Amino acid sequence: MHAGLDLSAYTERRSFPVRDSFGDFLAENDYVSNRFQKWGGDMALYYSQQGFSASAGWYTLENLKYEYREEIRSDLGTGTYNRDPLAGLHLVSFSGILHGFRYLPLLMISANVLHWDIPTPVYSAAAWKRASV
Amino acid sequence: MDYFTPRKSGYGWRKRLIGINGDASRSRTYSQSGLTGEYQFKWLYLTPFFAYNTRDAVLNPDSSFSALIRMEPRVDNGLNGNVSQGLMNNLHELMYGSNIRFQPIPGAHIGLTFYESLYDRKLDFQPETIIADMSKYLGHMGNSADAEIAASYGSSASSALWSKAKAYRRVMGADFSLNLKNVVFQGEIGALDDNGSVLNFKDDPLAWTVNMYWQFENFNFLALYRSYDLGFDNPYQRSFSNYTRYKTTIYEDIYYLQDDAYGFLYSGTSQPQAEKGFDYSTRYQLSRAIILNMEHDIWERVADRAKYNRLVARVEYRPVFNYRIRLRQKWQSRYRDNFFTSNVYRSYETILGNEFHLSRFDRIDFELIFGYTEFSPRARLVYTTAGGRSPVGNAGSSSRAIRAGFTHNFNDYFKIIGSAMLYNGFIWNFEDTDFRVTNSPVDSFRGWLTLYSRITDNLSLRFKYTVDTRDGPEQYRGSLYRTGRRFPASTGQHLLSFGDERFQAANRLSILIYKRNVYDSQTRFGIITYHRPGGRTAFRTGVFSVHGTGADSQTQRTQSFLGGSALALEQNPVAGLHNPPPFS
Repeated sequence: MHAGLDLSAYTERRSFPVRDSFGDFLAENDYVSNRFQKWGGDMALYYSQQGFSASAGWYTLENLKYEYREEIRSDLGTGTYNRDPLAGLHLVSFSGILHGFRYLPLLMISANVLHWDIPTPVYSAAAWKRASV
Repeated sequence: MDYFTPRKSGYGWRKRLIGINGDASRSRTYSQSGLTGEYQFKWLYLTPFFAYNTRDAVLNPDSSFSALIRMEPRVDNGLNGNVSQGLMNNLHELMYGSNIRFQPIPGAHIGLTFYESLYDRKLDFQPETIIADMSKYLGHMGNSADAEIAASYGSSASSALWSKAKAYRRVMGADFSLNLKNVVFQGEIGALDDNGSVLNFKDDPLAWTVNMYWQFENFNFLALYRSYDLGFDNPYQRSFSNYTRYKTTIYEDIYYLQDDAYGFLYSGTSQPQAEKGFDYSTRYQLSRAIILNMEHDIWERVADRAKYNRLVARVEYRPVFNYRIRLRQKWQSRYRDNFFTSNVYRSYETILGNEFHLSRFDRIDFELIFGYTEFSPRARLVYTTAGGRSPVGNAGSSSRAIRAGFTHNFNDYFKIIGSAMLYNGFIWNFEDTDFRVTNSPVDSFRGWLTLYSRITDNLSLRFKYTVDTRDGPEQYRGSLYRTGRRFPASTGQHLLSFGDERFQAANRLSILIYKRNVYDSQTRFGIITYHRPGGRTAFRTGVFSVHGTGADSQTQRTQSFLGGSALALEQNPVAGLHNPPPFS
């Protein structure tokens, strides 16, 4: 029996350059910072007897998760307590997983190594979601 | 003590001083000149004290005063010369009080403390004396903790004890401590008399803290809760907090003040911020090779109810004794779940380091640092090259650094220490004897080399040369002098130091002649005198020190070391509302 789990943490930065009045580069200013996590994994079973073996497994072909969040602040005049009130958010959210399944029976017909192999199909199941505000 | 230490619990390395001690302060602001003694009668301990001092204060035009002020350096007419009435030696404080402790069995006590400070000026907080742009005071989100300023204590009164008295400040409190095998429970409460009736606590602002510490062979656990009312304006309070009083108030923004020196009301203060929250920390040695540490603080700033969270986890792995790998991860946030406010931030910091301990105490170390802080984008603060405002603001800033260092001992008396770092962004690290903060928006290099020689067992010479391609003027606020928060030196009493931190040059040269503290500067009974006539030159009893470079306290701290030349009122749990004594 085999099992594996992968966890990945992503940080996405989108920047624009800041220049001084002479046009010289000063810094990269990030206007978006996104953090999201993805997981993936695999699991397999293997069985063998004399002259016969079989294995079957599941694995994550692709985790399509993606999260984008950009905060938009408006600009109110002097004298307002909060001059940067929240105007809205740009949100993009994707989710979905492509699953892979694989099985492999093996039969020994003679002492020579002859086997019967079934081509591996990939079954995919994905859910897609998109949202914006 | 007259300086602020974040998260000082009184345990571990941050021991609380008990009883009468030699002066442990870094300036003269809260030092005491007077008479005190300790008296023990069976299980009753008495520590009465009486002191008379000259203080620095912010005076109002009507000759009353708004607040005490601690300045480094002390400047009489402000940093821009705008304070015509003077800031130095303009107030007298007569103080008396006592600590009474009942200790019926070892490891358990109940204590009571009170003090009264009498001032020869009326204490009347008048914000317009300090703040130039009153439209920003209490009405600006960038100063969301201004309520803390508005809660400043005021008093107008006379005293039968002192005919010159025009104001008083009275604080009363109680504390307890109880040891049960390997666990200790402690607590303290203080009340600032705000209604003129000492024993009526109904309307008085309170500050209280309780904590416990549990110690095993390979595991310990510290838990602490504190709650300080906004109006508990006690200049001798030194209890646990993350930040100093007046953080995120208009006192941080010196350009809104009448003079830059008023920025010291925030940057020089020793008082903790009014906070309410729970802190716990633990250390667990899983095996000989693996040590885990965790600190977690969840608190609310009382002034604006800002919710904070700070979690630091550390793991150390040493596959062999001489080789150590360390990982430190910090998560910190304010208003994490409230995106309507523009005061939100989330901060992440990762430091991966390793150390090789070689023979003869030689050492090589490497560090990788990554950090990222997210905050609200404020597009109105960013202009485009075409002259208009940018449609997007800055929503975060990153930092990264790679550093390598070494220590080589040529013999028992001479060693060379060096470090080289490539960095970008806001980076802090310990640098020889200093805690350093560097900030650069572009890739920069910082390197330093120290030659250290012990001339005799007690006297050493330190020669340090630093190169920084981006030595930040960001660290400096207020013309030549720094009024921003300073970072204390980690060790040492410097007798002489040269090299001027005021110059924002890329290259810096400093020579420090360093005197080890070989005496315990405690005294149990005495009349205390101490004199520091100016901000840049200081004399104390038996100690000669030259603050030739003036502006920066982090390399020029001078403390008495000749055996008890001054008194620090550390005894007083209310006056100092210190956290309880270390577990023993």
